Amino acid sequence: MLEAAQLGLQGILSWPAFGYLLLGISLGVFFGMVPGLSGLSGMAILLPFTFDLQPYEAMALLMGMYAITSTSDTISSVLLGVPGTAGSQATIMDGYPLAKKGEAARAFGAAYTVSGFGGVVGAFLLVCSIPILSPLVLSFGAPEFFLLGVLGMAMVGALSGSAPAKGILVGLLALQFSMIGYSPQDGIPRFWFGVPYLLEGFPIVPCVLGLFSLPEVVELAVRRGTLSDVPEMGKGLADGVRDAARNWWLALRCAFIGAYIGFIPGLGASIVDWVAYGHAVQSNKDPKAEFGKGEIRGVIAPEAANNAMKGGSLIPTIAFGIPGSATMAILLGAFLIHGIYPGPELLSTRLDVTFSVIWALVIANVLTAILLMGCTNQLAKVTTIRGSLLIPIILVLVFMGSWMATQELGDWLVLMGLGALGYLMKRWGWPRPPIALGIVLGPIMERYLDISVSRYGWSWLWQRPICIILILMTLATLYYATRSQKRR
Amino acid sequence: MARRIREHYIESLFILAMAVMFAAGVVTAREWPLKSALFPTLIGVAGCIIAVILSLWTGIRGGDEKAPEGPGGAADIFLDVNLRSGEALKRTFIICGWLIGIFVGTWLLGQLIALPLFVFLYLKVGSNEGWVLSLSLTAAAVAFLYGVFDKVIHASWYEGELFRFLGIELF
Repeated sequence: MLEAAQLGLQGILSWPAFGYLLLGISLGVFFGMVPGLSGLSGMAILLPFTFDLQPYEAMALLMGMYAITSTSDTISSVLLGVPGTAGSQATIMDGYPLAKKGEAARAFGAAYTVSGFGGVVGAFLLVCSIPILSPLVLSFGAPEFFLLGVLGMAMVGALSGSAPAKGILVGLLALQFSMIGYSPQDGIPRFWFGVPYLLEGFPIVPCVLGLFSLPEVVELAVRRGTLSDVPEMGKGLADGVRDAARNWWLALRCAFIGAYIGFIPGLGASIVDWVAYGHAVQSNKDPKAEFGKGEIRGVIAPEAANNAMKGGSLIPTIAFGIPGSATMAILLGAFLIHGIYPGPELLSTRLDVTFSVIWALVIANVLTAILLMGCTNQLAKVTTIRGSLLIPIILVLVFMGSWMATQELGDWLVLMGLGALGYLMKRWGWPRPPIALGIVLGPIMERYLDISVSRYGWSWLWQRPICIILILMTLATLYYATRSQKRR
Repeated sequence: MARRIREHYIESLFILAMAVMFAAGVVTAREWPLKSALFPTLIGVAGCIIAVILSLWTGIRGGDEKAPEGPGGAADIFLDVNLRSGEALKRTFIICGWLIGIFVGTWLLGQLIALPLFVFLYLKVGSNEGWVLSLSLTAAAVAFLYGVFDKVIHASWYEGELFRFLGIELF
């Protein structure tokens, strides 16, 4: 394991991988800071650029971008009162009032310190999980992996939105999409409607860009105007760092909460900050604390948690090949594009790649915290760019990103079709993450199902103890989600 | 209120269309060998049943009140947009027009001409930006497309039907 850790570090620090990491960080700062772009859009846009890269370089670019969007999103949360990404909603509660009191710099000082700290804690927990998960994953066979896929789909479908049935239905629809093209089992062309473009299957990149980026561009175009007035930063960056150091125990607890929530598929980004914020409020014993009116602990808790969540969310993706969110589904797609199969492979023969991901996470978090401490004033000006200037730039990136899938106009038709679907789903409050998950997981689940049935018939459903546990967990997830909906 | 009710019916029909799609998938899969048909059949049957129930539920009960996407990180942006107002609808159609314009423009002229043209027209005509800014960003778009996609990634470009028709070879 130490050797793999060393190899992973060497891989990330070697040139040009380190250059890609820095590029990823720069892009991540931008994607996190501007509301509407987000780490998810960033991942989707960057994915096609990794096709020609080596695995270390691709991981450096993607992880550099992904790791730090929840650090840079603090800028818009504090200065605009608009979350840069889903994971920084709770930061607004006290970050924005602090900015209005002229203490934005103090909020940033505290937020960047605990963001870096939380990111490192998340990565540390990911490392600790490897020796525990390795034997477990190695004991899994095809039936267990298939049922893990079912459980992952059920969790993400049922938990990622207000209506579990809609989430499940969308997940099934995505699985149906994933079957378009040649069957991996016997080469039969399926659901291709006489269109040769569809024979190679539904490309993930245009799907993800259509579902997640185009609807945001449409909203940005409808909203118009600038994102913010020129902000006044105030002073007190060092005070913020001292606040973070004074509240290290709270930061550590919230980092653990974040990593744990990240580990559970379907939860993650948009609840992690609220859970941590709630914990900070509930565990507060200071009678002078005024949460919601500019309390620094209200910034520290969510910011520590949302960065730690990223390490936690990598655990099911790397160990079981079950992405817990759309962003992780794209990362899984990147693994597959580079011929790396999550699960046993990433925990044994390709452990160095896993460690390259972990090192990228650690280095990106620490570097970004330092970088943002130094130049928040300048970077904050990006939030004053007019939407009308951003839209053509984003659209060129989105369309060209899609083009890289197969370099046919069909990619753009898929992009626009899925864009329309994504827009309607957003408007009607349907969850979109299950679609990305289903398209990535579909072929994997089908392969495992085929192996399971060919090898064991259907007896694995009731004869293998882990399978029974996974089935019960799936049923419990569906029951819990339905009950929660009824309560609402 | 009437609009909200009407939207429920549209949503219900949307779900019903999904049910039909799942059912069609199951029927189509019957012609394939078992290995290829197993997964589509399982997914199709499950999807069809859920879609029919949900469609009826949405149509009869009005479905759930619209709620923002929850955990999972899909909705990373929360802009205060009232999409029901006429102005917002008009802007939605305008941006959709631009998207279709990009596609049609590329089909006719190829990306290397259509995308910079889109950037320029969007800035100058669509957003009333100044000449200097519009031309600078267009030049940046050309440099980006040519530099990154042509020189670094070596992407193949769509030629454009107009040039094909005229027999002009650009790339």
